Amino acid sequence: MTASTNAGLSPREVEEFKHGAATPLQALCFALLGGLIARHVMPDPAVVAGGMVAGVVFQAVGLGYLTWLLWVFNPAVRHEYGFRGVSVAVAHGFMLLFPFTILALLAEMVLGWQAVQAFCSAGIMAGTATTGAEIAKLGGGRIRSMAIPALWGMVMTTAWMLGWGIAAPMIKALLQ
Amino acid sequence: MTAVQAVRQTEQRGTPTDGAAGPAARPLWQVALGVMFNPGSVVEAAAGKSPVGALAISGAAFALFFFQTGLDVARQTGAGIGAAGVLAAIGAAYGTLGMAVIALMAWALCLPFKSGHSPMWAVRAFGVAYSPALLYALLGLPFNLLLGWNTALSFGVTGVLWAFSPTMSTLKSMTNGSLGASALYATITGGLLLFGWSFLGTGR
Repeated sequence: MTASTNAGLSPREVEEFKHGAATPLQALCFALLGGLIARHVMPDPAVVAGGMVAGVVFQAVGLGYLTWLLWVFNPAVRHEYGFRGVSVAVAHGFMLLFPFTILALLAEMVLGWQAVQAFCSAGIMAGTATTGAEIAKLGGGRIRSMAIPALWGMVMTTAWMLGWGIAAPMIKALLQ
Repeated sequence: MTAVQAVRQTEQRGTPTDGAAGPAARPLWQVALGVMFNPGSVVEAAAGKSPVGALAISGAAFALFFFQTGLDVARQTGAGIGAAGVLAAIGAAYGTLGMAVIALMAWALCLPFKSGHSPMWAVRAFGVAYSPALLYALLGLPFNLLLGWNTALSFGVTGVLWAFSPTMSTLKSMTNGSLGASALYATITGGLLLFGWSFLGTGR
């Protein structure tokens, strides 16, 4: 354990990054958001379930690739905390998706807003920004820690919105 | 020295109310951008300053957000700009008094975690956390006034959503790093602010 990489971290936090496990919370959030968007495409249980599965697959690919990118480009963090530490940092960052998901659910179901995509894109960008801060806290390079997640967040947000934009008419055409 | 320790030292020196940041003072736009991209450290550093300045940020953000809501409604219903002005005043009160009440409520919820932060620290941190909302509201205003776009949802709500990230950093510090509690409290405080806007600003 080097002093430089662990500066500012409590022993409990160091332990968590080294031996902690990523929670499935972010998968649940993406599933709910996917289901909410699919409900707009077609309010059919099978379509909503398909949207939820698409959300889980999207988070697995998107966050998996983000974890890999951060692991590759931050040798100090890689050496100190390994792949597990980086994945715990990503999971910590994407805990922030929870408030966005709950509020998107309430806004849709209670207030009747149609703004799930706004909650999704802001949630993904906030999640990646917080992930960057977590990696910087672990001793990652300041620019790399912030720039890689921010750029990847833009890619994820665009892919999420474009993907649904392309999939929605195809689903409608297939099922109607 | 961590950012939290730095804020505590500032408080012990008794300088939180003067608003002077010393030689390291940064312009507001730099603070706002910093809050968006590295919320934790900026919020904690800025929280050592004036509560009036911090609440001015959230007050201005909500005043502009409510003003744009009023302009959107006026465009649809034909109501005058006076109603939008009234909404802006309500927004200013909401962003200052309402924000202070919500920050104090969050502080009370976080008491069991014994973080050592003062109620004023919480008010300052919550106020500064809404810098992204101010930035978005400022960006939305010309689109609304010059191009006639409805910007309350696209810029206003998006700005408030962006403020969740620094709010969560604040709550993380107030809960001694508990991610679960800070996510839950961020949901409660964010929900109160967002749905409060929906009720006061749009009557729904």
